[in-house]
Amino acid sequence: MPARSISVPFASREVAIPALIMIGAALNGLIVTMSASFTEGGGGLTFGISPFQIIALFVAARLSLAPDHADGSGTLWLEAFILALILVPSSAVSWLALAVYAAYQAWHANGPRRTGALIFLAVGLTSLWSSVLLKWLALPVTTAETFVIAQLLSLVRADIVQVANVVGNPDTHSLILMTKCTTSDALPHAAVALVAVAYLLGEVNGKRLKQALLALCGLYVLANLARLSAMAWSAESYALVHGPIGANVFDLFQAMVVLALGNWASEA
Amino acid sequence: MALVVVLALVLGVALKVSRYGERGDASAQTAAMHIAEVMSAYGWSKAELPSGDSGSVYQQKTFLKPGCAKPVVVAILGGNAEGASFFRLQHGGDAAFIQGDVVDQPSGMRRQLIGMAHGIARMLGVASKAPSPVLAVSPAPSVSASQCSGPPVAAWRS
Repeated sequence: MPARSISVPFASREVAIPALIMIGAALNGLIVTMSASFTEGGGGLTFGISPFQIIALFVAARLSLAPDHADGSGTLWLEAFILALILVPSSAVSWLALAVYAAYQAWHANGPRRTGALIFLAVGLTSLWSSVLLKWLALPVTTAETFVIAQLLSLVRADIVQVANVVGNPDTHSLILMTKCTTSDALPHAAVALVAVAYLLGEVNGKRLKQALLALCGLYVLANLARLSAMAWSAESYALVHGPIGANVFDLFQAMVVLALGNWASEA
Repeated sequence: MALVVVLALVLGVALKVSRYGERGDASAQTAAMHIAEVMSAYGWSKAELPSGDSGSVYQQKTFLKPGCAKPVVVAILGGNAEGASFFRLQHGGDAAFIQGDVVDQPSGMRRQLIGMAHGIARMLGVASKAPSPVLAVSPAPSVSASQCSGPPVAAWRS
């Protein structure tokens, strides 16, 4: 009697190697966040990693492990180059390696594996944006967002002064806008998570997905502006909004918006 | 092939854990020691005053010198040095920043490139000094040394 076998993803080079490299590159990219979380003695269940990144990487890995008739493996030199990049002790370089390899995979793969590679590519690019590019542009980006907050607050208060990324009343309370608090930092990750949620839940309606992304941008910009304006208002409102209650309310808001819009976009 | 890939990925994780594990307090402590050395070399001693820290944005130290009316304030900027503008505001605009050299405004790109070069040097086994956080100094150091204006520019260069 002949033995029967089924294809296990990791037993097939065509399926396993590209997915393995992308998952490993993402893990290497996350090390800096996890190390910082351990050093600070916090991070909770996610080791300091954004739940949006976890969702996006989970969905990308799941889709990348799907069977595909096309040969999605890279050339040997490309895989060797990507592994060399991953060996550099810098998480930013690992995100670059992920983006380059995922772009190659997205170009050559089909079906779910292509979608998975595109989500990996988006995770790599958004992480590079947050960890490298945004830090290069920190002052103009934080200054621009602070300017908008100052304009909003000056509609109701005459004592608001803005200098670079500092806004508030210089004699009583000022907010220093940090890069990690900006909409420019958080919104791309939320957008990638929304797409991942949509693909996790089933067939995606392309038109709805675009509308959902636009709605996310609008809601997120408004909510973060309101949050930062409240932080700049006074020391008391800063403590409330930046403290555990305010932080949890904002996290819940983000999660609900991403899940609701992702669910809506996946309804064909 | 899969085994080689897994080994490379695990080695990559180990190298990063080794690099990022040394960050945080260690570089801030080294910077604090460097500040104390430079200031004491020019006769300034740390004052036991409220620190004036601004949360995680920066840690600030005040230095006094006999015969000098105004103190010199030095801060170690945390995060991405976003506290630079606030530090300058707090000190009436008379501030400069130490990022290898004395600069008017810290550069995020320079900070990242230094960190990346350090990581690559470590991987290649070349001894490399860990990147120091950006320092803020008020009043801004002058080119020529004078009695009460704090250490000159040359003293802060590394």
